[in-house]
Amino acid sequence: MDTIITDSIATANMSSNANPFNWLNITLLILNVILVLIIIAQTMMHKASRSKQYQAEQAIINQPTDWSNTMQVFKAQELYNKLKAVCHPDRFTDTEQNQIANHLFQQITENKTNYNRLVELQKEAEHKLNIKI
Amino acid sequence: MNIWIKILQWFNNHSDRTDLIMGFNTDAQKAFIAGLMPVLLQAEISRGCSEYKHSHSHWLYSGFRIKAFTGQQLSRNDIKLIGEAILNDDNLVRKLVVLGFDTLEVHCDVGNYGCRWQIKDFLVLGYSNNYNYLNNNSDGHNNN
Repeated sequence: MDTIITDSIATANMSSNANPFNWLNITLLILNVILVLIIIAQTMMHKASRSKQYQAEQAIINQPTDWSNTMQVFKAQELYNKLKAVCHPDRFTDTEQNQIANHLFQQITENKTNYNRLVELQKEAEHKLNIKI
Repeated sequence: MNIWIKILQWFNNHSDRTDLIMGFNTDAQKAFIAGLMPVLLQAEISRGCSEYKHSHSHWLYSGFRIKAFTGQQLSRNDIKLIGEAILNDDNLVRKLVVLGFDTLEVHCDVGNYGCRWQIKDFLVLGYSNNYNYLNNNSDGHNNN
């Protein structure tokens, strides 16, 4: 008889202790689910709002980088020094040639570190101003 | 901003920045071997200048540093010339800004001075002459 009473008390204690743990677990689970849903919702909203900016940034980043100007900068300087002396507008007294030389000189000054452009301008100067560089 | 996106963007930006640096170093080696460049250039990421921060700046490493291996002190004009070659390229400047760089630094392996530029200044207007000396040069004057 005593044993039966003891068992029933033990069973009652066990059931009363188990309930709060179960509720706690369930509450934590629900909170976790809510948290995950919030993160997913934020991600979707963020993607929608920033997609244009992100795409623009990626377009700039994905452009191939051309380091040729940097690597030919000393050659460009030599060519620039030669061209700025030869194509100076003061060397041309004729009005039409003076205007062409003026335009070319501006282009040369703007592109003084761009070797490829300077080579194009050199050919243009040789053709339009009838000079040999 | 969502933390996951921040983490992903950090990894993406990191790889893009590394690709840019590696691309520069590879091209510099090729140019040196081909004889296009009289000096060997090497790019690396540096701390940058905190005064030059902008909205895209990397929070810690925002400097694009170019080191010229010459064995002798480069002249001020040569250092300026290397910087100008980068800053005159609008697409390149835009890319540097997007990748989080705000400072361009050029110096050589010998000597104690170099030049640095605020990259943001060259986004729209192109090249201008506002460059600062990294340290006092041998003459002892600091050009701001």
